[in-house]
Amino acid sequence: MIQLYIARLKCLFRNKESLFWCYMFPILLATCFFFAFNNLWKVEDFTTIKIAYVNEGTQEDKLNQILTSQKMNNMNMFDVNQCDISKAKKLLEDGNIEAYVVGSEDPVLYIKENGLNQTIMKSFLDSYRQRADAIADIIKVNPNAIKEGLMNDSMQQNEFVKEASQGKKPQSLLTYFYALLAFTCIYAANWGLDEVINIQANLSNRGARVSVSPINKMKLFLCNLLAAFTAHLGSISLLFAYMYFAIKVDFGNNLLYLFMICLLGSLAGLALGGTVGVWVKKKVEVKEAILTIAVMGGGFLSGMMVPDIKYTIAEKFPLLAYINPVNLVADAMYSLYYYDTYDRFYLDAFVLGIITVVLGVASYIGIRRKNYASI
Amino acid sequence: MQVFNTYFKILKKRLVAILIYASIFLFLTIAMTENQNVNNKKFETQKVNIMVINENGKDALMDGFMKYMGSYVNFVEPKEGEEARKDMLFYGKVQYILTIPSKFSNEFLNHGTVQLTKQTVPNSTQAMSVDNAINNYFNMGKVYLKNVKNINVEQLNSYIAENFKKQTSVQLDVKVQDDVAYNNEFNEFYFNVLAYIMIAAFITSVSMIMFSFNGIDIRRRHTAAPLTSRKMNIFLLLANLVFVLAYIIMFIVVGFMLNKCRMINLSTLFMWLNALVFGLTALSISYLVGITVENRKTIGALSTAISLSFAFLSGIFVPQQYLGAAVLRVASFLPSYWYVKANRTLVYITSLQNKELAEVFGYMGIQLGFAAAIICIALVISKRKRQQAF
Repeated sequence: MIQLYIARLKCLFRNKESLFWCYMFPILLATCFFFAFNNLWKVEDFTTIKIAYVNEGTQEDKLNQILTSQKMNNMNMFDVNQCDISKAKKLLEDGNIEAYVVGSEDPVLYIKENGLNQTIMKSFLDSYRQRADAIADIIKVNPNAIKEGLMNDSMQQNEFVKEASQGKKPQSLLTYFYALLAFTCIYAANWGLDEVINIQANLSNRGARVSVSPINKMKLFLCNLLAAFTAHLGSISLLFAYMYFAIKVDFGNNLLYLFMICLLGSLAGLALGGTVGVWVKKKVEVKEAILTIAVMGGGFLSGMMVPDIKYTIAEKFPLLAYINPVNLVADAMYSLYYYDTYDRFYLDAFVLGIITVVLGVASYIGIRRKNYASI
Repeated sequence: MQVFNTYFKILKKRLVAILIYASIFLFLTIAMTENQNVNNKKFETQKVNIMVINENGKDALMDGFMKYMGSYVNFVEPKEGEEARKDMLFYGKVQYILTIPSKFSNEFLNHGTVQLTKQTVPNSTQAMSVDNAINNYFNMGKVYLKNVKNINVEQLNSYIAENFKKQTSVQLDVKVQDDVAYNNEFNEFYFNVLAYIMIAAFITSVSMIMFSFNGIDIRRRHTAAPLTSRKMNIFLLLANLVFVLAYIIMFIVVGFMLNKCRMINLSTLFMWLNALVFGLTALSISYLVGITVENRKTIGALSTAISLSFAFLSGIFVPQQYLGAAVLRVASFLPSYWYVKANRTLVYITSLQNKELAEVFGYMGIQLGFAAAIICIALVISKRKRQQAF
């Protein structure tokens, strides 16, 4: 038994093509993701907005003071460069600043393109002017307000919102990595297909030879499957180690559960490959193509190329999300990272378990008790 | 001529793969550009998607607040269940979830210190912009409440609404006309992605054909054939060029049709030229792959590996401005990096006098340099293989 297992393992590791797709390709893709997204993790973070301020000759310049001193989350909101109008124009044109403001009483905002920072800038200036108006309104109805500390009140900026309890940071970029790991798990389908082809007398010469050998076919098949599972587990472990230690993808805190869902995903993949191998009565190339479409397509629908797709599918076609094994594995990983509870993880694992059992039984029924008088 | 015909006979067998790549490309382009609109020359506030969970219930203060917020945010219909809301935040469907606690209005109007709660991507610019708007509104409200005696909510709302009418005037300094900018930016995106597809499709097709022509048995037979090796190479080269040219021209036409503001200006013309130049480089890579590999299946693997790594590293999938300095340095050893850089520069080219045009020619020159270097390597390998054949 052990000899059969080792022999098969050696055989698998000599197949350079499947080694490339299973071991190298995911690592290559993870590396690409890592390099491409390295700066995108922080792209949404607020950074001080660079602006220029053109004074119109007024002595005391309140707006400038307020712009310079404005803070948000202990960070300066604006980095103000006070200069004349021609320099401000040049700075804006060269992209060194995002906007410039002219005038103190009735400020005008000059920008080059629409954007969020420009919106913040405008809403800030609006509130500055509106505050001045409010003061005028109040003095009209309550002339004593100034004495009662109106100026102080108007300068005082309170925070009216607070962050709810802080869980894990929402990061849709993680979807790429989870989908890639999930894709690698389900990619075991190709190994499952190979095993079926190698054991079935009507599919390959080796299968025919094995059928006349004295060994029990099921025993051999199990040995081979176990070897394929081992080899495939190697690829998952390698990819996981690479993601976790080298490029530091955040998988949440429960690595044991993560490993379990990977194992289950790999089994589901083997069973899927087995089922297609046994039940699709077409050429090997056609079977391979079907699996590639199923696994690649599954990866695509789980957000491996565009994270939005995963959300859209879950929203619009929830059934599709629940029969796609790649999505189930990716979603379980996502829930481990993002949720405080395990409900969603258990649900994903349960559905994936059912799929694995159904496919496993289907391939078993297809393989058992096949005898040929002549082939 | 037989060589020429055989080339296209083999190509026909690879047609499915080429068509698959073409459809992936078209799908990507249409999906990514569908939501792009021609910008207006006017200033527009960029609104943040926000979901409001109002436990306080509707009242006059909330009405005024929501009306005010409407000019800064898009309200998204609240979803049932914590998970569904968190999902929306994760996938960026909303950037801000604001919970207004019960009795908030009451507390606020009676000078209490109750706060609203938010769920956001911490420290994001979007969250900051919404925070700003919320704080502005309530700070202003607080000033009125404190300093105007016996003010009621309706008065407060009308004061703030009146103040809100005073808007800062914004001057949008536009250099390039909107439809020109759209046209050029669409072309940039389209031709950048085309580079990925060219590498992937050329390696699967051209490399496969070169591989077939370079099999040892075929080469031996060719040597015995009356056709000289020189003639054969010329025909092969010709066939390659015809294929590449036809492929690129086809996609230039398709790109032109897909462009909502299609126009032929200097920028467009140079992007076409740039695509042709890159086509030659991609061809040279495919040629090299075709004559070096020893196994048909390796070609498929290399096609995926080379095209994806080129695309990710040189700024085809993620714009160069978001890539790290180290990545860009590595990428500068890839021809696609210079291709993408040329396209970026071309977006702003309006006349032949632009001094940036010289840069573009430089970038094209570098691509041709890559092509020449790769062809030289390929020739050396090819010669060694010829000598090995006997």
